[in-house]
Amino acid sequence: MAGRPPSLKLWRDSPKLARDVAASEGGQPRRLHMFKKILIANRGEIALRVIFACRELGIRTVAVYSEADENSLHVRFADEDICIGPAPSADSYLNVPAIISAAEITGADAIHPGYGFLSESAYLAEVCEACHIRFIGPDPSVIRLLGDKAKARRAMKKAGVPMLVGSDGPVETEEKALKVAKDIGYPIILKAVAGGGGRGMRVVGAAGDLPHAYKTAQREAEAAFGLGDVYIEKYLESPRHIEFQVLGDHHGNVIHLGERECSIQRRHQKLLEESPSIAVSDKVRRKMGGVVADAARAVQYTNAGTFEFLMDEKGNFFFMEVNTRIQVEHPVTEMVTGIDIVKEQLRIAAGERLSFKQSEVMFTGHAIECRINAEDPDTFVPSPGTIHAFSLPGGPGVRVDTAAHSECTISPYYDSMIAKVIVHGMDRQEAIARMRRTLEMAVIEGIRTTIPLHLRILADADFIAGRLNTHFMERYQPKSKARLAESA
Amino acid sequence: MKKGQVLCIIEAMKLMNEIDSEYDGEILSIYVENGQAVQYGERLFAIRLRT
Repeated sequence: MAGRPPSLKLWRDSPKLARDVAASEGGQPRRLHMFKKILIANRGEIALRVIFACRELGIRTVAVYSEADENSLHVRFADEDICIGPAPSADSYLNVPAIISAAEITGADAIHPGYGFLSESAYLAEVCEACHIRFIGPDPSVIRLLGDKAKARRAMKKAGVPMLVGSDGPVETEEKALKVAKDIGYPIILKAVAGGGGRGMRVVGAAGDLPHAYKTAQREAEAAFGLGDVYIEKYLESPRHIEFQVLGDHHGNVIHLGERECSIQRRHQKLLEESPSIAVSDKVRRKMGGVVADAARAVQYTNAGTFEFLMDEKGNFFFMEVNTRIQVEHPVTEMVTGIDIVKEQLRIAAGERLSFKQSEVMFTGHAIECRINAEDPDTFVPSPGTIHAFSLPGGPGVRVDTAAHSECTISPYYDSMIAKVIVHGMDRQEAIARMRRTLEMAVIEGIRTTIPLHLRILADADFIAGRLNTHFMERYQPKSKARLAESA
Repeated sequence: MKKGQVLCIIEAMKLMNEIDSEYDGEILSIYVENGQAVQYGERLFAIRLRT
């Protein structure tokens, strides 16, 4: 039990739990420690996804929403709902005091943070702990460790995870940066210690470009994260993005659920994900999965998490980062393993042991997810507005995770993803064909969506052959004059 | 201001879109406040073209 964080003891000894135990005696069969009511600190499809899991487990739900989301489905289908502020995220979905108050008022036992927003906030996890509300995610100290990219790198290196050569920690001066870069050899990449979403990142091909890039990366990191520290890593020319899903309980058990191939991305936003990866053999999956599970165990990782890697042409893996939350693309893993990751998150957070062993995890067939965004498919210009017709076909092997519907409004305040279409087939070929027929028959009117772009990707000879790397999307760069500030 | 100069940034769906001037000229008035929500086709600036 060495791996159990002190917070779990606190939880188990809390008066709330005693009430749970008492309540469970007369009612329907339920798990001894399972939550009675969960607040979902998120919106859109992921809030609905958590509601699905809660309903199936007989747990009541509380939706929180901004003024812009009053008519959203997560509000409609939760058992209770509370408005937590105006439309801008900073005043609502990022407002920790408002969210905690909502949990207190409704008497929620636990908070599920979804992805984005506060999902990787060690602060929210700490406040929850102090308020005897269970945060559905890893311990705050683990979130903090893995959220600091330089510290995470050191911890993972120590745990035996393969690394790209780089500065072990932030580089404080331009002179030091030049020296480190020279030792590593160009091209190198500068990354923000607090990093994420590509901000504070610069690729440098030669020493002459380093001083300018160093300053820009620092400024961007400072503006985006309030912390200007940057570190250096060797830059890979054409890697794949491969990530491993893990689950860890509070009893020291950690397993992996295989990999996801996420090389098809634009501005560090994934567009299409699949599992398994055509580039990962059974042997490599077992080996890397083992490495990842051991590393998670080494940092006492609990709940769901994702270890992201770059993979070079020779099949070598290099650690990028750990996402300490559920991910957008978790359904592809659910489709090939048959494991409900969100339910597992709830069970783990309630103190249960993992319900299966590594040897019981089976991978069947092939799954692909397309993220449908409200964007112009050619120029990528955001396309908020009202959807007048919304119909996504089902049929064998198709899953749609969405909070969109006919006559719903896609607001300009939040990200542009309106639906995830996930398909499962016997093999990759069937999955591709299934995704094509699904998207060809999708009807979304009133806004522009990326569906035509996804159809082009699905028909691309390189995609069909599985020749992927993170530069894949460059062939679809917009010819529009609209330029994004990020790239300036 | 000059053609190609950034006049403002419009944030939509977490993306920051720089809006460049299409003309050389002078800004006579600004019709919107910082942080205000805007719609397609909404008037942002009045510009006197340099001739």
